[in-house]
Amino acid sequence: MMAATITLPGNGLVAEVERRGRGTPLVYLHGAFGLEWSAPLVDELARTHEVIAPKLPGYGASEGLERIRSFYDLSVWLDEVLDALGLESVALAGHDFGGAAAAEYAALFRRRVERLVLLAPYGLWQDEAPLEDIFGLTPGALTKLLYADPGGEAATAFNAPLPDPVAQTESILRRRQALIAAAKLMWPIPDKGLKHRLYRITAPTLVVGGTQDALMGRGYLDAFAAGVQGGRVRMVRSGHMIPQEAAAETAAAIDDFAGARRA
Amino acid sequence: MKFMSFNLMPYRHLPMDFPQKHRSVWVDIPGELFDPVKGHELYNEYMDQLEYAAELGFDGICVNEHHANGYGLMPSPNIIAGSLARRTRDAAIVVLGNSVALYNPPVRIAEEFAMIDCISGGRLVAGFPVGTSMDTNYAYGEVPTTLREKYYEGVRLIMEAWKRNDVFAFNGEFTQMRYVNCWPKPIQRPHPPVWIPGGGSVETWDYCADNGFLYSYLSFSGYKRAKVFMDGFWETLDRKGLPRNPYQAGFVQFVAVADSDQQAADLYGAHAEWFFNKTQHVYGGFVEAPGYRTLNTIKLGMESQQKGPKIIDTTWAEMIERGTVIAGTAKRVTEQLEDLSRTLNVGHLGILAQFGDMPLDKVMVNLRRIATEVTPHLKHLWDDQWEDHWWPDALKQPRVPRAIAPQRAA
Repeated sequence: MMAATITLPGNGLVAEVERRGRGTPLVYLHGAFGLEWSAPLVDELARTHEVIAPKLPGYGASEGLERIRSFYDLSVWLDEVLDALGLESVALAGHDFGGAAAAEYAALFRRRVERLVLLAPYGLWQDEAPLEDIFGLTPGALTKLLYADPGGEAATAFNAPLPDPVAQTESILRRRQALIAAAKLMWPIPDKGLKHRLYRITAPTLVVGGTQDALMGRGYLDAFAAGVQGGRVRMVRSGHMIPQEAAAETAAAIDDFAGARRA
Repeated sequence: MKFMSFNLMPYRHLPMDFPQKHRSVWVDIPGELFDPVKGHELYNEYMDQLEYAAELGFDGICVNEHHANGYGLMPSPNIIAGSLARRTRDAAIVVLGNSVALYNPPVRIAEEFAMIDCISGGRLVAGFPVGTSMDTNYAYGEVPTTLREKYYEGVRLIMEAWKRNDVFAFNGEFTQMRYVNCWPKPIQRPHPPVWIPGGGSVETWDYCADNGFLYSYLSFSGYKRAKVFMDGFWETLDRKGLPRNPYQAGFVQFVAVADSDQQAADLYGAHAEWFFNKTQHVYGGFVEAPGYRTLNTIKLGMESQQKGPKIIDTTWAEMIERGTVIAGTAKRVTEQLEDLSRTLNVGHLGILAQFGDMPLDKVMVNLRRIATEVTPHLKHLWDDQWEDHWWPDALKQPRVPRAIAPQRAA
């Protein structure tokens, strides 16, 4: 694994980018809680792809959250990151908050996105199926909402206190920092007009959902698939945290879709 | 020393099993628990209490703003303040205050406060709180990450709108107006006294010190715990070479007067327990939205091992012990309020004489006893050394309570 920082020309902002594996490049955008909660999927994908995972502004060492006031700003930021990395056109994937960011980018800079993968993406709102508020739950209730198996290893890692108090403090602050960044764009309802732009997404799009996702129901996945030019839905056995709970199955689905071959 | 009568206006008809049946008194409190007919009685009862306090000689009467809240029935304090302005003559109308980021555009606050100041003849104290996370982020949908920026920008706009007589353009991040023109203007020039009610954030101390605003620490956890926050403010003033004028500070305290400590417990204990155990029952997920406090403030809090005080599931004896409620004989209450004022170095004290489900008759007795047996002994505090620059000019003379109309005396 390689985590490195780059400096964006023009504004001098630092962006932290993790790069792993070899193969077809795949840009991956993490969810609201940060890249650490996508580690199993990134591991799997790295077997067949060069995974390029920028940390969004406000996460890790990535600067510039104060300038990001909308998904438009975030798309412009991502465009500059891709420029700085020398990537002309990309396969783009994103989970949860990162799914909304990926879809917004693909609608705005559509010539640059070859394929789009959305894992339980935010970005839409349906009055008949209001989303739970991840920013208004106790940690216990949040864990139950996010994981198919709240007693499993992944959920425990997400919610259990760390034995070392210093590490625990850092972990609390990291979680807080992550949610500050996500809430800035998704508060109080994560519909910021993507529904009006969805048709602009011309890249073939795979929408992946978890069969036991208590947060993002099937109606949202279908709306994404129907709204873009060429979309389809694939279900995997998981709760909302697909990158942790269905890493192998999801990586295989992405491989099928993106046409990559396993080494 | 200035005393204000403060009323939170609790909905005092919550069912006894509220904490068992419902997860929160705030944000998602069920609508069917509000009976508008009882609401009619409560608003009028609480306004009677504030008007009576003004008659009794309290220097000011005080209202605040909460949303979707079972212990605070004032989403719009300005409506109450406007009514009080008509029904009182020489008490300050202390609005503590308008949560600036919730008004669109914030010029609305400049206008409404100017109206209250005109109606009352220059008796307004203008409070600008950020507002709690429950009120602003959860109940009103404001983005927590930018709440404070929006708040600071809004206060800047209001102050300009008051001070300037020209029509000007305001190009803010959050508010853009081509024609800012606050009409009417307040009587108090260049502007009414500005109070900033706040919790314990470092930024607020600097903000008050740098702008000459009053810092009012609002907390229900009592004056003993408040000392660290008030000291933070005074040390900030020291650092900037500014005087520790107690009149630049305010505090709020539950107070109850009786003939003996035991009688205070008998008369008021259950109401205080109702307040703390029922109305401080807030769902954990609503306590603080991400970004409401800066990461630095959170870090400081964690490093100094500050733990939130246990304020629910408390008994009267614990409240007395911690000073969350000051109660007992007039002598004891007077001594403790003097100790509070000197300990915190505060020149304005908001007295909560109504708390929890305390009914009207008890509140009237409590108000009368406080105003006749306690505050007259403490009014002299500070005046030998300090001048109150944070009070309406029209009310600088000490208040003399007038004869109390018999039908109003309880």
